[in-house]
Amino acid sequence: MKRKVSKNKIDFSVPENYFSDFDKRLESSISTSEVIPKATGFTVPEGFLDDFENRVWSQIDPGTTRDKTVKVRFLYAMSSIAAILILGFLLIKPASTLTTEQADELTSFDVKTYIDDGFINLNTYDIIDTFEGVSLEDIQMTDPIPREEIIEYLNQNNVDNYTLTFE
Amino acid sequence: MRDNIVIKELKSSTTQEKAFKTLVEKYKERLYWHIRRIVLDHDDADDVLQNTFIKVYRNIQSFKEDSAIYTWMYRIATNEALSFLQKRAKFYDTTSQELQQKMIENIKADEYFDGDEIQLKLQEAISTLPEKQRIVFNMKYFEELKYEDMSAILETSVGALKASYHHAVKKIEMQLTKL
Repeated sequence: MKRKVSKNKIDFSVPENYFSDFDKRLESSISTSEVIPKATGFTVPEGFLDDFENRVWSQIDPGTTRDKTVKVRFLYAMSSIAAILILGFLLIKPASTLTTEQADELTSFDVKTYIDDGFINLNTYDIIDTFEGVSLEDIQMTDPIPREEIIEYLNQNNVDNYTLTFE
Repeated sequence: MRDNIVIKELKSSTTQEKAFKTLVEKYKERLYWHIRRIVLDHDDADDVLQNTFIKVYRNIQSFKEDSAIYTWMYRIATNEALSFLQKRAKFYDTTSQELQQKMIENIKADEYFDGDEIQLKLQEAISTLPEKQRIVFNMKYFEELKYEDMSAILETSVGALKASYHHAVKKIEMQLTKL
């Protein structure tokens, strides 16, 4: 049977409309396979997804929704205070240990904020997680705390009384 | 409810809870299976799915609506699942390929896998694929997503996805016919 052909510059030819539906023919030839099964054998516990939306919602505290602008206080501000607190709690002699009264003054919000601000065991992955999806343009770096304020803070908190011990 | 209405309601504090639940209800199953095929284990898939929706909620304000929310959520789910595997590989101090082998070993004892021998061989074959090919294969073969949608989710050209899928199918068929 004679078929219509189109020619290219060097006289090779292909059947008419060969290229126009090539994609569809290719796709249909490989979209299903006689060798590869369609079922995977994975199962889920019965009713697993039934109440899923409520389960997820219970983990979301609307009050803590992140603003579009994320204020990063890793520089002098919080890191200075956190470093002082950590030093005070962990490295300095027990004379300056946190009293029960002081501990009681810490609200769960304070603790949550402390954790949310990333001062506990932050590694690269945690930082990536924290700021994933946040554009650099949306990250507002706060101005460094002036040296005078840090000195004043240290004075007010009587840091001179602490003795650092290094082993 | 249409997605664009859901997104508007999700961005408003007065309607966000209802809108969020509507969104989760609509996409939870599809996203679950997408994640499950990547992480294989049910409990891990459950964790990753929850994290995915929490991220969707937290980042909805920055969603610019220049793509469908469906593809945006798929992208988050894919990234979450891959990130989960990277963390796990790091935790076990192993390579991603060795982790895949370990995951296949675990499947055999998984109470939520009741596949037969050929289905187990299929998972073994999929696990030998490079990461990108593995995801492309799952999305096309099992989830039957359009290449255009996959292109938006994976930020890869349609041509590259087709080539990737073609290679994946050939490799898997070759492994399965060795049986």
